[in-house]
Amino acid sequence: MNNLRMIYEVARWEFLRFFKVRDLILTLLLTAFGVAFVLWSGPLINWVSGGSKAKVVVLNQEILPFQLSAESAIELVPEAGRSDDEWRAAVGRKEVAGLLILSSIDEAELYVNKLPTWQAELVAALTSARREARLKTANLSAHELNILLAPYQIDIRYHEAGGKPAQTAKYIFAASFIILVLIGVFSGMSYMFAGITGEKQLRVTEQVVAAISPQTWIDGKILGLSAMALVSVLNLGGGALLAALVSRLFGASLPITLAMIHPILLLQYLTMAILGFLLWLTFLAAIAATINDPQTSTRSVIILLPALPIGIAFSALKNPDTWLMKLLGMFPFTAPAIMPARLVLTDVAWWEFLAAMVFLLGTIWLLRRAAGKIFGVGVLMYGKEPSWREMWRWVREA
Amino acid sequence: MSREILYVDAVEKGFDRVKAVDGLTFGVRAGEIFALLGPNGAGKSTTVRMLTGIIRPDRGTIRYTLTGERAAAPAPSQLGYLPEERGLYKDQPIISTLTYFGVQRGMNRPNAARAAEQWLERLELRDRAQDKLDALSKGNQQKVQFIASILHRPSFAVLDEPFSGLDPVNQDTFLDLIRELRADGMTVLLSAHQMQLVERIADRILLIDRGREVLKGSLQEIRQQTRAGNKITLKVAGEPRISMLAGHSAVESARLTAADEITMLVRDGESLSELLVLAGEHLEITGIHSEQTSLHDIYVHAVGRKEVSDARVGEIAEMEVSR
Repeated sequence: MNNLRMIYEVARWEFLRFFKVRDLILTLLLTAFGVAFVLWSGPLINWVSGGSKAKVVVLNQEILPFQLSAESAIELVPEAGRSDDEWRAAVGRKEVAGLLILSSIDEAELYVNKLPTWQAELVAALTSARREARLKTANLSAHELNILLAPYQIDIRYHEAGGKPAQTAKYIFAASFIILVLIGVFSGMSYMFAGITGEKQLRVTEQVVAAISPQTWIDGKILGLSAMALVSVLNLGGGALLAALVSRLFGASLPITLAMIHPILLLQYLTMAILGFLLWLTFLAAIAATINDPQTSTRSVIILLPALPIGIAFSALKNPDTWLMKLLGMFPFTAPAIMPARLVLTDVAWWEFLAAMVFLLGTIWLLRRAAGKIFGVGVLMYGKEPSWREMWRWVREA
Repeated sequence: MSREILYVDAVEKGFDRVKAVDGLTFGVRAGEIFALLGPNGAGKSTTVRMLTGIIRPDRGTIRYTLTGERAAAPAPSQLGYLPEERGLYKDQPIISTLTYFGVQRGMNRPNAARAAEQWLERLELRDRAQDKLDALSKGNQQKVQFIASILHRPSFAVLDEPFSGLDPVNQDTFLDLIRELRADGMTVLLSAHQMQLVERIADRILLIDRGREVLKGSLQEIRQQTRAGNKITLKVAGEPRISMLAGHSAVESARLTAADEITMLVRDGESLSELLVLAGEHLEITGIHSEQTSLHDIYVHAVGRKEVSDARVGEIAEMEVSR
């Protein structure tokens, strides 16, 4: 049996070891439920609370007239000629949520039973009203006053090829990509970690190494578990998409449009995600092979290392076009997270994407060779963990 | 005589400052059961790992001629290996695990699955095929492990401590299985320390200690090499004095095996009359038993020669002091 065929057989075995249909369906449903909950949480909370708003009575409103938006959580109730004390008693009886007594343009008392969740909204409305009142007394002309009070106007125009989404939607989309890569890397790494340390503890390694070379074994493992990581990502992404589609059918307003999921973009994203999985799983396979007991080994924390580039990738959401982000978008260990984010947020030159791919493939190849050597020795070692220096020596001697 | 399918020449292997194998030379013939014997730390498993290609020797040559052509290592399909450190995937169905190991040894998946089913049937585990390994008793887990090593019908099987952890009934089952494999033309090299089992099954034996050869050949040849004749056990009343027996020319070794029991290994071909007269003059003999020297006795004598003689000197000295 040739080597490629054996790598396929190992990859198939490793994939099927962790491929549990029941678990995937459960994850899909939970993701769909979670996304649907987020999309419907506003209307749902409103529905649960009976659609009611917090009733607030304002005394002396003529001191500082203010307005609330139609979507406000607060409903202003007329004072209806009742006295201060009568309203305070009404608050006590929970007939109204609060009593706001304006004493001047700068001061007011809010009488409530408990700290209100709508306090920030009330403060914002009063602040806005006070600013407007102050400006009116600043001896400005009506024209100047209108200019100062009018919101700043930005006319957004989109490129023809663009999907014309709002920038916020792009951020959400890019962040989703990064999070999915993170989940894929972490799930793949946890499979790899559990798999290799488990095999060492179950003493399976010697039997396998007597039949196939360590390089073949690690190659198959990396491919099989990368495929499993991809399945996890597609499952999660699929669950989220399912929830979004169903929610749209029922009239939910989505922060992103499906038109943003362009096939080329999706292909580029999947390419980067897969290369990222291969890179990190190759790295971890070598480390995991040197660990005797995952419960006590200090090396177990290395599984968290991919969180670092993912964290940097979130910085790319703010400034995707800085030279640093362009560079990190091509650097092998950060490219799988940053490049997808940049692809969504900005225009990425074709050569940048190509360079990222080439650097990633080259690094994966070199890392694979080094990992194969470390894995081959480490997986048969029991008793003590090799030092970093020893591992480096194995790689150099190979 | 069958042709040699494995030739090991002056092989050495060391770890840090310990030399685990020190210049071993031996050959294994086609169709035989060859036993590698030795105490713990003798270098058996290191030798086995070198034979299976898991580790490389520092010096020396390992040469296979399984197909008639020389090779440093056999093809995976030609070699079966039961490691001393047992292990199978506990979270997978038994049939899947066995199939996977068959595939690793060059079988295609359907053939591996079919062979696994046949072996499970043969070992009365057919109805457990879809169970996880954890659900089986320890003995049955050993059977599954054994199947994994010979599922692909290799021409050469290396079994490292195949009897360890087995009860007497399963030990007999495994002996029968190994004999069956030999009858099918498979060559078997087994490493073990259960002398009575090895004695029953091995065609030839290599006894090693501290990485070096101590004895080699068939049981008959080893008996001749060691001049191992009979083992005589004397039951005595009173003080069991062994010093005058140990010094007799017919006695290879003598030791106290109980407070009232002396066991002697007597050299092959030596007259016992003079020895028994001597024993009768100095000891109050209440019983006597004679049998052919077992491999166990030869093993203990050969490997533990220094320790036994040290112990004997100690015993004598102790008796002298108490007297």
